[in-house]
Amino acid sequence: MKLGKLITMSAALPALALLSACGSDGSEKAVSGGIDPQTFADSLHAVMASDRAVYTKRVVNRLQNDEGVIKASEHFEDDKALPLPAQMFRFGAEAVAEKTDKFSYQLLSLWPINKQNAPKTELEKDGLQYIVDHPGENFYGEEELGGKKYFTAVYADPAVAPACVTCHNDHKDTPKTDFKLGDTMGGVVIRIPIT
Amino acid sequence: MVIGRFLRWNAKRLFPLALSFPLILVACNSDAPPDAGSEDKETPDKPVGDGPLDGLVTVDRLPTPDDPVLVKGRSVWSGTCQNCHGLGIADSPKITDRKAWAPRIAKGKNVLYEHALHGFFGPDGAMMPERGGNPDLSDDEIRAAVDFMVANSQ
Repeated sequence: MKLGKLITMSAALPALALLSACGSDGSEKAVSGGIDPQTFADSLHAVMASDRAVYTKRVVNRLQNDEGVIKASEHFEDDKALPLPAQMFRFGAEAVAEKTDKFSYQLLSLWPINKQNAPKTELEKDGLQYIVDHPGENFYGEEELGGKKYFTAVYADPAVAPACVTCHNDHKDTPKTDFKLGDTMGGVVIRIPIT
Repeated sequence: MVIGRFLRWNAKRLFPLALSFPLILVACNSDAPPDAGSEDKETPDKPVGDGPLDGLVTVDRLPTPDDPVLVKGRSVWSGTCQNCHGLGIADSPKITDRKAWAPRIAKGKNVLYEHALHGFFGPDGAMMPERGGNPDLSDDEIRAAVDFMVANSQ
């Protein structure tokens, strides 16, 4: 099976399963009856975080660090390597965005290597700052964008391996060079339309 | 309840979605996120039962030791180890979590020193990085930090 299909399946299946759990009307039904937006966002994040942890531990850590079979690389196509866990996460977010508008998610940072991954709304900025200032806590809020109201949740994305730290600190485009292991490097932003 | 019925329905009929079922169960049963506990405390918090303490366990929430080795370990731990072991990031065993630490402590201090000094992959692929990711620490400082973590987790 091709990598693209794998990525799409790994990202889309859990997300679609959660959507089905909330009913076919998505967030509107969720608000009126079943699952509330915060529980929906927390559940989505639990799936995302679990999938990412499994990829990191069972694939990257095992094949790259433990068995030395293949490396993970930012330039994985040129290097014939595995995508980095953060890249897998982004590919999943892009695949989900093609399948549904019931929710969206992104990996953003106050110190992005790629400027496209900087926060754009005030709530995103507030949320990313909050999770940096309050380790172990999530951020929840509501915002109106383009006349539509959204529930937005922000979850910390910590540096879980020395490779995260060295890659970000040493990258030519990084605006921050003193990350330590365990630091919050950015956040997962989940946005759910509620009107 | 409603979510559970929907999930069970899906799990029976749609095999691909059933693959996601355990993850969703975990997601739906997860407790609310813990509150951080980084504010200054006059007296250390006490774990209940097997612990761990709620939220981020900062060094000021732990008893101040008298043993000079543990004093040194406390300093090293707060500077390097707390970032992960204060919250349990990346499946690291959280300080004060006696249940998580018991099987590790049972392996003996020398094994824990070895894993902290040279890095370690757990059976599920979780990683303890070499020297906690801080190459500036000496062997003695690493061992002292391990001693401090064990002293607060048993």
